[in-house]
Amino acid sequence: MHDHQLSAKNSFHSLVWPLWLAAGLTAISWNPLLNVLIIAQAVLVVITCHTESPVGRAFGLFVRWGAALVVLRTVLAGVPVGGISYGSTMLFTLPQLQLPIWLGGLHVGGTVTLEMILGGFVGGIRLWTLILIFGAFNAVADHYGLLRRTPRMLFHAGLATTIALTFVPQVILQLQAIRDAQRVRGHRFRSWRDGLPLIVPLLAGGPERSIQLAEAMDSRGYGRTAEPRGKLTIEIGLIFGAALLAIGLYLGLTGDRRGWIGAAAGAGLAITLMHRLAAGPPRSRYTREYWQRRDTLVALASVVLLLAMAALHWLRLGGLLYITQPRVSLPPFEPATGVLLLLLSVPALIQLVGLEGAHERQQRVQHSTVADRT
Amino acid sequence: MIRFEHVSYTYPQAGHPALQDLSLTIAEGDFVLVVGASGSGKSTFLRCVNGLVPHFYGGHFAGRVLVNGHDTRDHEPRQLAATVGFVFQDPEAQMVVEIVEDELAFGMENLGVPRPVMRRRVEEVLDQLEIAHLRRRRVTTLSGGERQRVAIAAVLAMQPRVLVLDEPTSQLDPHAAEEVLTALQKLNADLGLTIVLSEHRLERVVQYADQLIVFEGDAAAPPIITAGPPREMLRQSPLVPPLVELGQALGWEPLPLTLKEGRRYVLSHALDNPDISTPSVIAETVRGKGLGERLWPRRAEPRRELPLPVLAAEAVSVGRGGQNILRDVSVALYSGETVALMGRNGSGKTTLLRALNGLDPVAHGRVLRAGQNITAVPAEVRAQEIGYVPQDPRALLFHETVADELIWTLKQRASTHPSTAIEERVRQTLGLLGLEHLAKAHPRDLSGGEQQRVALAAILVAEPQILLLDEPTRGLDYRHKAHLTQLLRKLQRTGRAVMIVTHDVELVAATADRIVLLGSGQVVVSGPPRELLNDSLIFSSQIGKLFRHRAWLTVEEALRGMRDEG
Repeated sequence: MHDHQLSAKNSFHSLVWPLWLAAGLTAISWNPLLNVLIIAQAVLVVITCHTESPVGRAFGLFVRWGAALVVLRTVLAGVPVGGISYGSTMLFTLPQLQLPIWLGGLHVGGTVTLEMILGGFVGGIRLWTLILIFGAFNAVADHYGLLRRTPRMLFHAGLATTIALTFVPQVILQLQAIRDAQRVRGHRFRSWRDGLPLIVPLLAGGPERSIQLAEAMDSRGYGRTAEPRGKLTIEIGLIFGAALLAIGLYLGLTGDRRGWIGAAAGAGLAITLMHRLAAGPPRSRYTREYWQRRDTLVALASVVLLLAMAALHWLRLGGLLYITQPRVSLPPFEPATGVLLLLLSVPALIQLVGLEGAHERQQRVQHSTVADRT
Repeated sequence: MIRFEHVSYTYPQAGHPALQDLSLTIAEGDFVLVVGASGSGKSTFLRCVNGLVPHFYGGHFAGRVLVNGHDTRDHEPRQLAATVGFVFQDPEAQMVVEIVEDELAFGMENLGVPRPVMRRRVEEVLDQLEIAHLRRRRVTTLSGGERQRVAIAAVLAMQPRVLVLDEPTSQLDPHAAEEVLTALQKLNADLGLTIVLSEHRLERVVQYADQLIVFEGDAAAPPIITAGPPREMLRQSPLVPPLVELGQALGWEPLPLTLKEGRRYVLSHALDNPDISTPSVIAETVRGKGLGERLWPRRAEPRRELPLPVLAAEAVSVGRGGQNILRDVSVALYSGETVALMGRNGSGKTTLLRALNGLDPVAHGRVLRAGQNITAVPAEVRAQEIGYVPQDPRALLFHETVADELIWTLKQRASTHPSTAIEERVRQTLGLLGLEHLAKAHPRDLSGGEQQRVALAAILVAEPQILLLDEPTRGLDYRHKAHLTQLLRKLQRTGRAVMIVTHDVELVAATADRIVLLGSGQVVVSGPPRELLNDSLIFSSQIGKLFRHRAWLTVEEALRGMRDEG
């Protein structure tokens, strides 16, 4: 029973979620109304599709930290620095203070306007949206499914990601164990100084565990490569490619169009050679993932949203901008953009409607097992 | 298969080499057992086999190690993965993927094993290690023993030609350990898999070993390493299982390594037969009147005059995540008594220990400390009276030196001691646990067994009346286990109450007054060791198995019993 719940909760193809993430990120604008709409949908998607993994359950943390950031950002933006205020709706005046020299010696305080506070708030909401889109991705994505698809040349990135992923739940468990052990030893927590007996074993234990995990992954062949012939030549080629890329970028950015061609060639060369270096016996996959109708729907929705939003950003249409100065106004709202954004909830809707769910998938996996054996 | 040629290795920033001029050969298909005191360099040696030393650790490496013709200096561990499988000591830290089944496939995926073969091998190892029921479980929800079996299965699935295991059974219950070791022995015998295994509890494996590599010394100097056939190696060794110890003491030649061999001597010397046994008499001559015997002599005797238990669980149930970990468990602990909590992996032993300490909230029932509900006892008082050493000693250690660790515990106490008294107390406690030479060492640099003892010292230094120990023999060699045994007896004599969660039958046989056997969250049976261990197939000590009709459980008891008979 327990198993079924595990997989039934989230049964999208592992490549669907990166697409959804890209769409969600493109959808973020400066318009707080649209951003709030995105947040609502991110929450909906998490509620309907989240995985049961310890990392997946961390969404609440993202919500809380994000909210704290909004408050902080609003307060900081509201306080004039260097005596400069903008906006025309004055609220009140703060006494001016001079910061100590080592903090820059700036004057802080002065007239606080509604526009400044609102500007900070709008920026905060935007940041919160960004955090929650990532948080939602984190809660719904199949990290290990994605890890397996990481190209071998990104070996170190994969290793680091795995360590980070197992790190978080382990730190939580570890913290629990340490707290219990110290409490029982007679430790009382009276002030922040008393955190030391918790922090030290935790900090010391973290790297120890990470090293052990890296050892274990290495010993089990993670990132295996075959030593290609002519390794030195490839490495020299790689340096050349990287140099070409750097020069090309510089020229391109300083206005020489030919630079972009050089950069592209350099990047292409570098990637090809890195691939050669990382070449080895092919990896195989234990579970076969099926691309289903539901996956197609989410992918389509995400791509449409991504392209449409990119176009709107480019053309400065769709009420994506909201400027709080010089005078406070209501943010614009274009219903068409709002409707477009609803595409983000497609995974949630599919999950709620229950379109071709996990059961079918499991049955198919079982069929394939039988087929493989015979 | 594996050849060490003049290998010397020094860890970065280490004062002296961990291995010095080591040359030895392990033939293909050998079952090699690596033994030695904790901290003597066994883990370093094992890490040389798959190239983790020097590739992972750096440091200074001289000589060479050849594995199946590959020089480990030119091959990284991941390139050797198809040849050498490695199971680490700490099962918590080697899980890569979340779900058991995927974890088993992880290594094979890296090797590029085709899917049908992978599926078949996953099924095989699931059965081999009896973990088929865990296949869809999340790794984080498994018990220590279950994880260890998953870790071994994950490496076995890669079908390496050499299997290196660093204390693979240290967290397993006796039955599970036997399962794992039998599986290894079968792989060794049937498939010719070369196995290199380090283990403290020789009694579990010595009969399978073709070669024994003995490490002598401690962290203070490079170890002296000798290798040879087990029987010869064990003749002089002080670190031996109970059966061999008995054989040594009685001068049995050739030295018996297995119970079957031992039983031949028992029969030829007429040391055991069904008519001989009068367990209670012998028990009393051996141990004096322990409280255990007084409490549980005959079931009919009224127990009205019993004192109040210092710690008791009354019909306690503990649930976690919708599952019942403990159901209706009642256990009492009296002062001057040692109770051993035993049972399969995942049967709720640790949870019971935590509940007794007030760490895990109790859903039903109550925990009483000297008749008072534990939740009503203030945390400081609780900490002063009950010492608790958790399974992972590292959770406790955070100071720069071992001595500081002990001083800190004392300073947490409400009463202030003069500093000379503290020093004296610390010195005594360190001496008690054989840690004097490590007083200035950094706790985190020590080996697993040493950390275990430091954690125990950090708790013992405060002299708690009640001691709760969670697997205290994990990672301890015979010598330190003998120390621990003596220590526990001493505590018993001074009226302390001790409860030990353990899989170590030998420790239980030597120290416990009473055993409480847990099974899936309930008390299956409870009684004195002599009653419980003697007729048990799994939970019995080597000596107990050797003399089935006697009430002897330890070498000490057997020798004394024989002497008394003349």
